[in-house]
Amino acid sequence: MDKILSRNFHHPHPLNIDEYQQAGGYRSLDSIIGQPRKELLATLKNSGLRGCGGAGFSTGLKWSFKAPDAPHPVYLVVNLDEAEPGSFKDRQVLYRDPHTIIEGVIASSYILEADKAFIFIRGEYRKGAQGLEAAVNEAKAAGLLGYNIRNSGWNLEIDVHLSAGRYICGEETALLNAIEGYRANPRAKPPFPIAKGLWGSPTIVNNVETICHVPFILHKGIEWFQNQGTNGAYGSHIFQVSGPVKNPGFFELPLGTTAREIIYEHAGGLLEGRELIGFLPGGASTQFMLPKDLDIPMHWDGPPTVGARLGTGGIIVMDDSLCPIDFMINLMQFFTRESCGFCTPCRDGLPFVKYQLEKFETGEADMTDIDTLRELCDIIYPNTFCAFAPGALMPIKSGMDKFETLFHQHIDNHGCTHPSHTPSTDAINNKVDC
Amino acid sequence: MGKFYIDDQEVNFEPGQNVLQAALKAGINAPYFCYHEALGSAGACRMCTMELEPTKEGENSRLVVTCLQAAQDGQRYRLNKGIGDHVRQGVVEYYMTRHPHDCPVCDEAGDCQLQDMTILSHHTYRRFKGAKRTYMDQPMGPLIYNTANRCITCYRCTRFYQDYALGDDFGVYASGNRTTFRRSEEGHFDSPFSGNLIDVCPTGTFTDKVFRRKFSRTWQLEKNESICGHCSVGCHTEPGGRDNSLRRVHPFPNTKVNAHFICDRGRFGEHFSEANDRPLSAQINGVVVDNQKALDHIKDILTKSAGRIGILSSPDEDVSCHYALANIAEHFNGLFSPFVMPQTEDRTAAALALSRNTPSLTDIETADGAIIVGALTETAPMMDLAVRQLIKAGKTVHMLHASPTLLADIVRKQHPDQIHQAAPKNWAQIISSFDASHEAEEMGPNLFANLDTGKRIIILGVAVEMDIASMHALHDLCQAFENKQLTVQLGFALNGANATGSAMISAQYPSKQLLDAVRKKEIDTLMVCGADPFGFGAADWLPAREHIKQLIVFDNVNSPTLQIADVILPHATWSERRGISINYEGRIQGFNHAYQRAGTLTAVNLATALIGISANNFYEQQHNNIETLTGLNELHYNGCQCLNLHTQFEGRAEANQVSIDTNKDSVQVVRLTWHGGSNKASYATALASIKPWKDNIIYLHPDTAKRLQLNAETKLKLGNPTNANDNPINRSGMDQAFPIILNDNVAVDCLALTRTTLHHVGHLVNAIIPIDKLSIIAKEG
Amino acid sequence: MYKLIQEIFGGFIVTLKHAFRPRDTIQYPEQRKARSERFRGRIVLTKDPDGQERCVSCYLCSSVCPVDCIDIQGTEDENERRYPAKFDINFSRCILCGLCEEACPTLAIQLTQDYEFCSTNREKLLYHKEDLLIDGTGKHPDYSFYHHAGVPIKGKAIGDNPDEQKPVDVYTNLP
Repeated sequence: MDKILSRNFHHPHPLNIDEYQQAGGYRSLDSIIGQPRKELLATLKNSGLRGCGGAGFSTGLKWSFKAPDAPHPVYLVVNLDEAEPGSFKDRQVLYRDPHTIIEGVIASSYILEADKAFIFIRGEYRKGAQGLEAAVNEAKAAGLLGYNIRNSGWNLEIDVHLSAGRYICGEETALLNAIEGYRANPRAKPPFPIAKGLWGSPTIVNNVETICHVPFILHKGIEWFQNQGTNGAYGSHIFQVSGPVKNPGFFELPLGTTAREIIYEHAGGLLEGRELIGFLPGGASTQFMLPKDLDIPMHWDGPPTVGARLGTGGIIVMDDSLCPIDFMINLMQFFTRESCGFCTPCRDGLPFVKYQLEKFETGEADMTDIDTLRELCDIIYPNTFCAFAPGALMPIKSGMDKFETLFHQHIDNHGCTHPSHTPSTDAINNKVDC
Repeated sequence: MGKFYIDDQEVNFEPGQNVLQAALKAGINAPYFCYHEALGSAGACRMCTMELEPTKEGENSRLVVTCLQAAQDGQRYRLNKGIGDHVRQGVVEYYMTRHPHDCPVCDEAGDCQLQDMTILSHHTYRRFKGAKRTYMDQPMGPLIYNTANRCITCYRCTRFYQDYALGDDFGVYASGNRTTFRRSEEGHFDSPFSGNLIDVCPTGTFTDKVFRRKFSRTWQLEKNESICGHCSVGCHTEPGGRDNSLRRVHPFPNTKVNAHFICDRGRFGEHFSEANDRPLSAQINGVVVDNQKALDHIKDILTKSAGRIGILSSPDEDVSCHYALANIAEHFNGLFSPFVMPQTEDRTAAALALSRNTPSLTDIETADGAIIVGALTETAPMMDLAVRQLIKAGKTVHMLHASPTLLADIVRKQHPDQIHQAAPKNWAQIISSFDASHEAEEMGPNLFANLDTGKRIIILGVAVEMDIASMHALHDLCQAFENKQLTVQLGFALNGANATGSAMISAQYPSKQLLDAVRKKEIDTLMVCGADPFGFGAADWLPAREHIKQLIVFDNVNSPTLQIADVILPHATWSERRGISINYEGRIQGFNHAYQRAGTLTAVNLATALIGISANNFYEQQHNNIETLTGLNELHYNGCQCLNLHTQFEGRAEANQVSIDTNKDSVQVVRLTWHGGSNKASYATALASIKPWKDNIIYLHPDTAKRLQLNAETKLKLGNPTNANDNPINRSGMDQAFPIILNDNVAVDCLALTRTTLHHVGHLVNAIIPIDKLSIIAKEG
Repeated sequence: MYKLIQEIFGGFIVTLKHAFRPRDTIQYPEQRKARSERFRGRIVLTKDPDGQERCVSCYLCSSVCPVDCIDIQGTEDENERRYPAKFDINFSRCILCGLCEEACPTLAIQLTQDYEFCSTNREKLLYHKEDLLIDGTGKHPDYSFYHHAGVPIKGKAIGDNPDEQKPVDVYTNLP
């Protein structure tokens, strides 16, 4: 497998434009700029590249929704708001090889005929944004950005935009509102951003990893890309592992690698004396997978066979040193805080779900509370304004199914009997926070 | 056009409507919170969720929020069957996890959408026993009370205040389940429409602070649809009273005038009827007597002074009042006039004569451009709200004004080049230069250059600030625009709610006739109803006071005129009586009392007592009179018919064209008013407490100050005012010197004074003072 | 003949039997029958355990009263605690049904066991607030409405109730 995003990471510092070009960078633009856009788009579509931001929607198909006579200006927005717990892949390429991003942006913008590209960066990645901005200036000076790039008659400007904070900015329409200077509440869809996005103009929003793949696919060809994957998948992906493992970190591997390989080979397996109870395959808003699912290939169609989803590929390992219900409460704490507060089921329903979970930990729960919790998940899920709350409930719903006996045990034992449980984890009577 | 089905019931819809809108119009009890017909859909509350049945085989039904779902032919929804009920119960249960246990002490209970929706969704028992989130309440001034705990975050308040009314001192703070809505700092709201937050909020978060002082549950109030009596727009209101007092005023939703909202002046100004010093009993020479005794006394006076009587009413009183008083005057061979000042009468009649296809509020909201002349917000606030919808849509709005006005502040934010500040004496000239056919002008080049033909412009003028020449200039401007294939509608905001009705009647009873008779000492008995000739702005009347032997005042406020009256009769207010009002469009609107105030009288009562005409006969006679005068067969008072202003006021725009003063060495006095100040509303204590202008101060532009060599260390004396015959008028304030305050929004060469100050010094609105008559005095100390 | 005597004397015997049975009659007013706790007698307005008036003039009792015998005008004191400025009950109309007690959310209005308040003068049966207000808590010694409501009163700020969080800090930037 050829490394794409992490190919230059072995350098001691991020490459400037000359070093980058010496290492083979920007060569893909030769086979992109000036080529007929229709063909490039068809190639992308046929390649099978899917979005790496969590949803996994076919990128070529998404881009083909843009009307050929769409009015200008057309915007490309690159989503580097990596706030999903467990996900830290985009940070790497931002800090260590910003020119890869720029190359991807130029290639994608050319195909989409975008006039301006926004790279929306999470507020905490301030230094990375500064590095990216410097790289953008270098590219501009080298004539790769600006007017009439390589005499193609096409202009491109890149704007590096630093977020003001909040997880919800990762939702594409909330991201658009944030760039426009408004509160980062999501927008109602329809109209979709591809028809009416930033300031009413056609806008395409993609994750940065997807964008970085684009020039490589077009330069090296579909066959090369499809051979990058394994177990029936196309392309490679940066998997991240966090939790009680010996070697947590990120690994660029073929898409389709099994979870067992990722956790036990690359991440070195769990710490001494720890046992795997379950893992979240793609960040906090995915469903639990159990140790028996370790051999499922981690590509787009793998985890769905057990009711999970690949998400961002950020594996969070859960071992026997903590109670899974406590783990779920921790996740809910994050999600209740990060809700934008626009729609009722998410803003007020998620704290209710957290309260219900806490009842199990403190021992105040009974059998009706299991039904209440299930009912809450069922009626919040289809009735929200955006996909934030459904994502927040995915670990809870799957946790209720996969750890059902645990819930019953908590009821029978009148509380959590896990050795790690301390009264301070009880937030029911805690007057602070949601 | 088409139909869809809710629970197998057919619902017809128009193209462009969403499902919830069509369902509500069809009378279905569809639940919702954040949807509002004027504010649109948000999709925040998720209460309007219904189940949409699948159309294809194998598809599942799905939940949709009906306020964001465009209605399509043939769709089938489940409201009360299916899982929708369960989902909606969930939504109410989530609200209940943080809604305080406040219903018994909440003003909104009984009128609360949250209560109604809770019952509608069959939610009963709250399973959440955790801690509820709370907020500190924010003091929001004397008009609106805030209890932030009750908020259900439907965003309606900020959608109204920021998006609809273009205010910017109120908004949403924090995020997640700590989201709250408050002002950026404590204090009363800046917007003239802040009272609508009370109606728009579905819970008791924003409640009526004035109502709170005299609280009553809404189901106990005596309510009726009425017409607001505080400006010439004539919005439909719903006053609610109980036990002989007014408790609150709400808008009455209608399709004729004001749809859903009213301004603060109409909402809180009506509480002038609750002022502590309102005359509620009859008095003869300072002694309280019962009404019958006072009426007998008055009949006695009138009989003895027959032939030497004058009866004065005002544009703030309705048509029935005018007719009744006119009948009394004629019976005793006296004179009647519905206007205090001939100047006002002429201006009002001219404005009505020159109106062209007067725009309604809906017409204003949907136009393609506007020109506003004068302080519109402060004269007819609801017209301003309609113009704000234009600004929101990005249409061009030009403003020409002399005194500070809130609408100019809004336009100035984005388009400072569209604001023209000038003294009223120069307006006629400036307006002529707006003519699109003139080129290379220093003011107002081609105003609506990029508008296609067929687009519609509205022009609104404030009649009381304009001279007749500038009104003619506006009329000519209409013609010029029409030559460019644009449709133009010209309307004027008049002073007084029934200014049109008064002007209509004044054709037969001109005020000049009455005033001249008083000056010639032909009248020694004066009855004043709802007017203040010896108070505000009536410098012409005070010299006549010594010739009036008997002053009878029939009013509902403790005006300066009432304070010097010999006989006082208590008058019912518009909420307490029936009447007919004609608004600036000529729309004939009748109103009936909402509650009754014991001990007060109406003009019709007076007519019955003094000249013996029964109420039924009077109303029949009045109906015939109006039909004859207006030429309308089958006259209705439901607000659907409008006078034909052009024919009604034909020929009344020629009178008294004042020559334009091109004397550069003069300043002009302009009236400083605010959105809460009408003749009656200024007696409403809560509203009057937030008046932004100080009395006995002169506001002027820094350039004017520089020119007159005034600064913070000096005071200005305005010199003796003169009346129309150039005779000096003795006023108590003529020797007084006033400190100045600089204000960028006053036009250059203008001195802006409040009405009280004007009354004090005796100058008339728009009076021109030569600079050599001003004297500058150093401040002592 | 024998039957005749039997019937006559049989009647006498029944009467004699009853003559020596214990009486059900209670010698009122020297003796009074004990009333049950939920007996619906005279109406009182109670105070809460802190000694403050419970009635918050919510108007529920006057609205539910089937004979419209309650007249209330509410107001608030300088601490914004609501109380009735006027609370009149016309006992010549009151049917002592107890619906007001059921409706009252603060447990202010209660019906007592006193039924001895008749009068020969109808005007005297119009009870004002001073005639109705008592110093005690009535039947519910522990309940104070304001300790469950979200509005602040003197001595209890917003957020002080056991089921409330402390007020949100709107100026923080943290989520």
